[in-house]
Amino acid sequence: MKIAVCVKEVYNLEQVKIIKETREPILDVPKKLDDLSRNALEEAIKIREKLGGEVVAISAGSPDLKKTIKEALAMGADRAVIVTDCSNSTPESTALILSKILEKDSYDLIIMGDASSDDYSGQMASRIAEILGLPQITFVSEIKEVSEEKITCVRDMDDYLEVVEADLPCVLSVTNEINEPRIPALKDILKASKKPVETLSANDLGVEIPQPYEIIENLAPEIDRRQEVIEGDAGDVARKLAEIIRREA
Amino acid sequence: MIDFPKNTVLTFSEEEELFRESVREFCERYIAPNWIEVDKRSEQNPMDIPVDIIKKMGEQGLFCIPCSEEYGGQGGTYTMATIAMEEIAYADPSVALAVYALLNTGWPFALELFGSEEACQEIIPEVAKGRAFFGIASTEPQGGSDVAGLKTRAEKKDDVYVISGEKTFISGVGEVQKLEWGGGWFTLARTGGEGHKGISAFALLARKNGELADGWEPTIYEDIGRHGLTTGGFKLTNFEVESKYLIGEENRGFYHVMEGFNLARIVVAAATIGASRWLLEQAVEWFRTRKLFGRNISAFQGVSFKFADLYARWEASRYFVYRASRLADKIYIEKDPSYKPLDLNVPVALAKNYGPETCVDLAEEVMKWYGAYAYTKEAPIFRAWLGPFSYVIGAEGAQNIMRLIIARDIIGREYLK
Repeated sequence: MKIAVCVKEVYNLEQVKIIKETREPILDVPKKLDDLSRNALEEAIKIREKLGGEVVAISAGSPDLKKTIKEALAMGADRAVIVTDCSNSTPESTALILSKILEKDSYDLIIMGDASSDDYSGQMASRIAEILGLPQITFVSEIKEVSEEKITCVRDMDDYLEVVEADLPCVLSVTNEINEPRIPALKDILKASKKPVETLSANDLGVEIPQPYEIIENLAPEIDRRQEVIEGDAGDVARKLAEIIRREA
Repeated sequence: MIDFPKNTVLTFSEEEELFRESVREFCERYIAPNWIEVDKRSEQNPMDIPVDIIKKMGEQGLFCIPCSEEYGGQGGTYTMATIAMEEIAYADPSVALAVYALLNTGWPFALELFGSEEACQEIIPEVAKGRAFFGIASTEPQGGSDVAGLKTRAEKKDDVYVISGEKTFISGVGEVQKLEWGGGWFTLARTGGEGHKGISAFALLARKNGELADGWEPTIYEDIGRHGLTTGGFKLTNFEVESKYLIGEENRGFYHVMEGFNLARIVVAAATIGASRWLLEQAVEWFRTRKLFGRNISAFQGVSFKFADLYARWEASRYFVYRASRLADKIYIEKDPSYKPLDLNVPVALAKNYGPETCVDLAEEVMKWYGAYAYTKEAPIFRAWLGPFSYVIGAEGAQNIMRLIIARDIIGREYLK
C-alpha cells in the first residue's frame, strides 16, 4: 500500500501574541505541522503497520518546510516531497502543486486533514480529487476497513454518521476524532534527519502561483468583557450568579 | 508561556527543538493533568506510585536518554536529557516525575560508563522501558556529604561480594518493590582501607525479574513534598552481589561515583529550572489579574523588582545548566579529548547551586504574592515549593558542597585547609 499524506505547516498558534492596541498578531513564531495533518499521518501509519508499504509526506509552503517536515518524518513518514517557494499560495494553486507531485507516483490512498487550523478553507481534498479524477471521502472520523482494493469509512456529518465505501485509489480527508496522533520519541526524531526529502520549486512542477486576492488586514477579533460586579452578602451573590448562569447558559 | 528568549549564546539544534516539543506534548497529555492528583495520593500513601505514568514515560523513551541504543537506551545526548527533565518538571513542578526520570537517566548512564557489559545488558533495557528503577544509594545514617567516610563493607568471597551496612534517604526504595522487573542502585561499599581510596561501586539489585534478593530490609519514609517518588532506606545483611556487578575497578568507586554525581547534578538542576518556569508563569498570570488599590499588584515596584531579580536568577540558572550539559556531551558523548571529566566540576556545581536555590526562593516569593490563597491546599504552589526544597537540602550533593567545589577550584585547595 502506497500512501501519500498531504500535510501543512502552520504558525504555532499557542505562541502567537496579539498587540493589544492594534490587535495585530506577532507572527515571528516557529511553525509546526498542523494538528489535522498529524491525524492524517497517524491514520496512514496505522494502515502501513497493518498492510505494509510506504507513507510519503507531501507539502507545499515556505522555506521553513525544510524544518517543519521533520515532524512528519519523525512521526513515521518514510520520505517527503516538499515545495518551498509558495508561502502565499491560494488553495487553488496549492491543490495544483500537490496534484502535480501526486501524479508523479501511483498512490493507493491520499489522506489529509479536512481543513487546516490557519486558513480553514477545507478545499484541498475535493480540489485534488477533482484534478486527479479520483473518488473522495471527506470528513472521515473512522476507517472501518481497508484492503489493497477497497476502503470503508465513517463520515461525520455532524447530525448523522454515514458509512461509505470506495475503490482505491481514493482521496480521504479526516477529522480530529479519527485518532490521537502519536508523539515522536527521541529515537524517531534522530532517525528523521536521515530520511530522504525531495525539495522542489513550483517552477519545477510547471505551476504558476497566481495571486487572485490579497490580505488587506489580519486582526484579532475584539472581545469585550462585561466585567459585571455582583454585590451583596454571600447568599445574595450566589443567587444572582446562579440566575446569570441560568439565563445565559 | 515563558520560553527561551532569542539569543546566540544558547542555541538548540532542530532535533533538540523537535525533541523539546515532543516531550512538551507528552507532558501536556499525560503529566500536567495528573501531577496534583499524584502528589495528593502519594502524600496519603507513599507506596501509591504512578506506575502507569512511569510505564508511559518508558514507552515514550524518557529514561536512559544518553545511553547507547545497544543497551536499550535512546542514543541521545546529555543536552537532550536536560531538555526532557526541564519539560517534565515544568509539567510536574513538585518534580517527583522529573526526579524519577533524571535518576533513571543519570545513573544508568554512569553504569554504562564504568559497569560491565553483562550488567549494562541486563539492567539498562529494563530501566529504559520503565520496568525497573536504577538510582543512587550512597548516603548512610552518619551523613551523606562525607562519602569517603562511608561504613558499609563488602568482602569478596570467590566470585561474590558480601555486603553489610545501611543506606538512608534513598530514592526509589518503593519503586524497586513495585515496578514489574524491580531494580536497584549504583551503590558504594568499603572494600579496602579507610578514606576514599578504599571504596568500590556496585550495581546492587534489590529485586530483579520480580524476585526480591535476600539480605535486603527496606523502610519507606514519609516525605513532606515531591510525593509520587518514594524515599526510604535499607539494611544490607550479608547481601550477595556477583562480581559482574562491580562497577569499574575495585577501590576506584569514589572516583566513579563522583563522575556520576556530576552527571546527575546537571539533570537535578534542569528539573528545578523547569519547575521555576512554571512558578514564573503562575506569578505573571497573577500579576495580570490581581488588583489591589485599583492597580495590578505588579504596578508596585516591591513586587515587580523582586520578580525581575528572580527572573534574572532563573535565566542565569538556565545558562549554567545548559552550559554544563553541553560540556558533558563534549566529554562523554563526543569524547572530545580536549575536555576532561574534572572540567565539569565547577560548571556543574554552579548549576546545582543556582538552580534549586532559585526555584525555592521563587516559590516562596510567589506564595507571598498570592497571599493567603497560597497557604491553602487549593492552590498548588506549595507543592512546587516543598518538592524542589528537597534539592536545596541535599540530593546529589548538598548546596554547601557545591560551594566548596567552586571555592576549592577557584581559590585553590591548599588555601581552604
